[in-house]
Amino acid sequence: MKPAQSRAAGTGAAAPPVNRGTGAPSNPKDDERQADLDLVKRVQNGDAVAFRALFDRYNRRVFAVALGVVKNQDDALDVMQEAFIKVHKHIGSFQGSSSFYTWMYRIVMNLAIDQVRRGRKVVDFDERLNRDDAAGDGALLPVVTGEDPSEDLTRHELSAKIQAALEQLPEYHRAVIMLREVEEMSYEDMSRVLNVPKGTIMSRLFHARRKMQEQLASYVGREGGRDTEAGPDGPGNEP
Amino acid sequence: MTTHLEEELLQRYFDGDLGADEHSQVASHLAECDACAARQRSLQALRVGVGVLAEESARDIDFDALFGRIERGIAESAPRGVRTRTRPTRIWLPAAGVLAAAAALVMFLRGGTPPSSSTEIEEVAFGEWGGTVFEVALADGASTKVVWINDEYEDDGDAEVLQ
Repeated sequence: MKPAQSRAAGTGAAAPPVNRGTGAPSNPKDDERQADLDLVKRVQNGDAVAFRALFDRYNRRVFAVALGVVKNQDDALDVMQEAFIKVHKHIGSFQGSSSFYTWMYRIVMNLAIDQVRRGRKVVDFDERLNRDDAAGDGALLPVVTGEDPSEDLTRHELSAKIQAALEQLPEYHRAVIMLREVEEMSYEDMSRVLNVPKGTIMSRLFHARRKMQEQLASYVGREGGRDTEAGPDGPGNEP
Repeated sequence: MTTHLEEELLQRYFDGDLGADEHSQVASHLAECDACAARQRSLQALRVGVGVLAEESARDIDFDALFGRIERGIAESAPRGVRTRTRPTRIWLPAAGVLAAAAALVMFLRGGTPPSSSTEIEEVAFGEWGGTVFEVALADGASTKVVWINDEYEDDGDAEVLQ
């Protein structure tokens, strides 16, 4: 998982797509996908070490994304377990026509959403977040708000607030938020993973962000979800 | 009067979904428009917050233990034809007679494969199990019949489709 601080130091906007025909530097995403494919080929040849390497490459992000959807740590671990078993079971049929990680996340998200829809008991994991052992508190606030360094918002408190806001969203909104903000997945890849049109992804992401901003108005600098003098509310074709 | 960026355009810029020209235009606008720049910072703050949550939530997870569970699950879900069983790999059931006298079998267990001095007589079935009857030469020149039970299931295939 990329450190949050490193993201905050940037402009917040990803660079436009690289024209690979112009000799521009290679896209790090492409390098990662090639590394995935190399590991996948080894796993297909029975290399258990390579399977562990794939697991290690993705375990934290997959867990975070799954947890964001199912909202319960035990359920998220169950989803991960089942997902990686399925990955191992079906990896022999993976042809590489799509990226491994969209293929894998499709399995993960199907399982996570199924888990939610089965109506299994959902237990807040605020208890874990509310423990008093949150080391390293306080370093993030100025980066997050960019406005008031004197505010004593800790990483721990921020996590609890974000979690509470996430829980107000339906699972299909949580899914796009987690895939985009944690995994940095493109609209196209999210469309493949969730099997909905790109426009639906954009709409869901827009609405999910707006709801989150409303919930976190005092932390993310946008009150009541208003568009701060901006015009349209954005995409409106949410299912 | 300043025309502010539409939300969709701003989010697409923020998410890196614009082409080079549009990206450049939006960047120029953000450099001059405080209101739109504030909206972008809000998106960035949300992204950072979700990232912090993700880091926090995964921090104490024992992924080694989870991988152990996954390995066990893989072993349990392996196709039956290659499943590793905990029972002895081969079971010898020496019998006093051949098939018709199976009820009179004197059974004992012995590991290993059929001895080279044995002669296969015929294959038999016991429900889902299969086996082969061998005639085995003994040290004193006599012979006895044994049933060699194949303890490997037939692979019944796996029609489960990827969800």
